[in-house]
Amino acid sequence: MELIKLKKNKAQAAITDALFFLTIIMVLAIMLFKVSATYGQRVKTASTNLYFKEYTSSVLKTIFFSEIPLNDKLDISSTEETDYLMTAIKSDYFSDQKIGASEDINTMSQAGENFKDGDIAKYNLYHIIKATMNPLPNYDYLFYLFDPENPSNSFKFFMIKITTFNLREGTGKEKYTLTGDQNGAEYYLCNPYSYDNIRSIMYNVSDIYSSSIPLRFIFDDIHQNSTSNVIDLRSTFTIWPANNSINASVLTDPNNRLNCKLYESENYT
Amino acid sequence: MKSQKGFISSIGDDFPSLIPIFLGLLIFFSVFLSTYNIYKTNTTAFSLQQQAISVATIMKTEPVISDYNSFTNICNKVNTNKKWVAFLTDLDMNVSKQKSLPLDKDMLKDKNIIKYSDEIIYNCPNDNWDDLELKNNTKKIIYMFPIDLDRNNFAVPVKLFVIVWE
Repeated sequence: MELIKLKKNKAQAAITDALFFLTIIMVLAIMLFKVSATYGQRVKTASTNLYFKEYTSSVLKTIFFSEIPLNDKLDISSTEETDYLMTAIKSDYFSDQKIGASEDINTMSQAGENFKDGDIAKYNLYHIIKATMNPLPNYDYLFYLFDPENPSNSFKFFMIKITTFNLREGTGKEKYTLTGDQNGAEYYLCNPYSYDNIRSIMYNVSDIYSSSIPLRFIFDDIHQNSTSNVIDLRSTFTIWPANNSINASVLTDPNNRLNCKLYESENYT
Repeated sequence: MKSQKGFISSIGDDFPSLIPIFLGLLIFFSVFLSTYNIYKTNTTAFSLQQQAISVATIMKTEPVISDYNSFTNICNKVNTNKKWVAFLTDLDMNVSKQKSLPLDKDMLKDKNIIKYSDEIIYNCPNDNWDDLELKNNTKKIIYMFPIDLDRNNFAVPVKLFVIVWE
């Protein structure tokens, strides 16, 4: 009898159906929320990657096709003699198989009375790279000319820019984290022992964008020791967000075999 | 029938179950509309980014822009269904002398601020400048690339700006 009575309670069955329906709708709503939260992330990342890839490629083209004043004034309109940057670099390399006046590639003279004429090409290369990247202060970068066939003397030029931060202890929920404002930038010239040393410091840096092109240099082998006086270098330009930056102490630590020297620094404040 | 417990009427019996059904439909359509809006916004943004990259790639075809005619010829090769403008500004090798053109919201509201700015070397296309009145809610993409320009017979670095909007 009770069973028959229960069977006659029609409203309960309808409520149950409605609750099942509501449950299905909630599951669908959660799935839609999830889709909307993640929709387009990959495409957005791909678009950002494409922009920075194009930017690094443009920087390399700008470096190679720019003309430079053949002095340390950085003002092409007031100079008597100019040349294409890459021509000046190759001319510099031709005579002594190195770029710059010093034997050490991490050394370069500063503008002024003590400026060495042998550093003209290297000096202008450094400043063109710095100038093209100045509109992106939130990005750090490195540029190098690398000889993959010569393990003992691989790098012909290497510069790296690191953003420095005012680190302070966070407050509230961020109390145990270091937060910081951009303080300035430091520019280093390096002479790494090998390509692996570069790879080891870049290993933990995320969001890296890079472009690379081959260059052919000719040198004057007055001793005629080699069978060929042609060398194929690879020029690479790499950028990454400054908040992913490398600590400057990593560059100067002898254990990292980067052999970096601070060339100049800037203070934003 | 009326004397049976639980029976109100043929519609009244089902009335309590209508509440979760309506609630479910309301939730579903709200979430659906929200997802659709996000989809539409992102799709528009991706389309703009793609067109901006496409325009910039064409503008950067020549590694050195020789003169205004060359710049205009390159501009005429751009084929896009979005509204766009491109212009060149100085990029001094001495970073302490570099000026920045702040393309902020106030500046973009008045096309004449950009078009007649002293810092612009070349700009194109002329027709689209009249449409450049970007309000706060206008979807736009602004890309900047370094490029070389032949100025006074010297190839010097300059900044190429590409703005695409709809």
